[in-house]
Amino acid sequence: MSAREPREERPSDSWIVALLFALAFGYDTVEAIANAEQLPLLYVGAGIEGAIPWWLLVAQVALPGIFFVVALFVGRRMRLVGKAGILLVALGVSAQLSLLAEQLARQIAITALGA
Amino acid sequence: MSRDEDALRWEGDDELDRATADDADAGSAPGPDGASAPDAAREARRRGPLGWLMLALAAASTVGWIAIMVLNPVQQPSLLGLAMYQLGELLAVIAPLLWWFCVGRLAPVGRRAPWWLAGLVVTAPWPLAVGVLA
Repeated sequence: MSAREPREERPSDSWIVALLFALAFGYDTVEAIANAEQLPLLYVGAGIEGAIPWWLLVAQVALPGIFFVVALFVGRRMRLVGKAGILLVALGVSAQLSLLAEQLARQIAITALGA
Repeated sequence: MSRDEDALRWEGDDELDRATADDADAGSAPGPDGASAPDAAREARRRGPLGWLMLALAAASTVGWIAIMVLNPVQQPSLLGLAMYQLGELLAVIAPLLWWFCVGRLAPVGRRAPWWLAGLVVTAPWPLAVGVLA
């Protein structure tokens, strides 16, 4: 078997992968903005408007974008598969933080209702 | 080898300065430390006891996230919303193992331990801790 020719990676390949992941991270951000609109209404409806976790809502909106940028930075010198892997891990961590924020918001509401 | 077969092979995404299995095809030139390229590649791929310990801990995190997913009631107004939510849950479940795998494949040997430790902290099933501590 002869030695294989090295694969060519065009810069546009990285841009396409980054764009696809940007859509996924963007969806996370849109969901977080929707949460930031709806969650305060639930708290107000329950009469615990003083306990609205604004810090959590702001963090939830900001973090997907931050993760995306950090993943691009970490994978900047890697080949395409490595970049995609790092971005996928970042997307997974973003999903984990969404679930954590959901649980925290639930616990804060329960604590405020019990007080 | 045809391009179709090529697409089915995992060639990894190693650092440029790390020897790969391809080097074996091109000839076994000795490395700077006297080891041949395939030996160096095998050495770089070796996980070591720490790697396997981290894999066990990442698997434990994954079990924790599965428990969170099972305990978490899902209510979404639309089918698309439900599908995306469940996709997010799936990503959350596989993230600890994915982190472990990516560190093993992408990080240089000397820098794997801190990255693995960071992964354990970041991808731990924190919602379980929040539920227990509250």
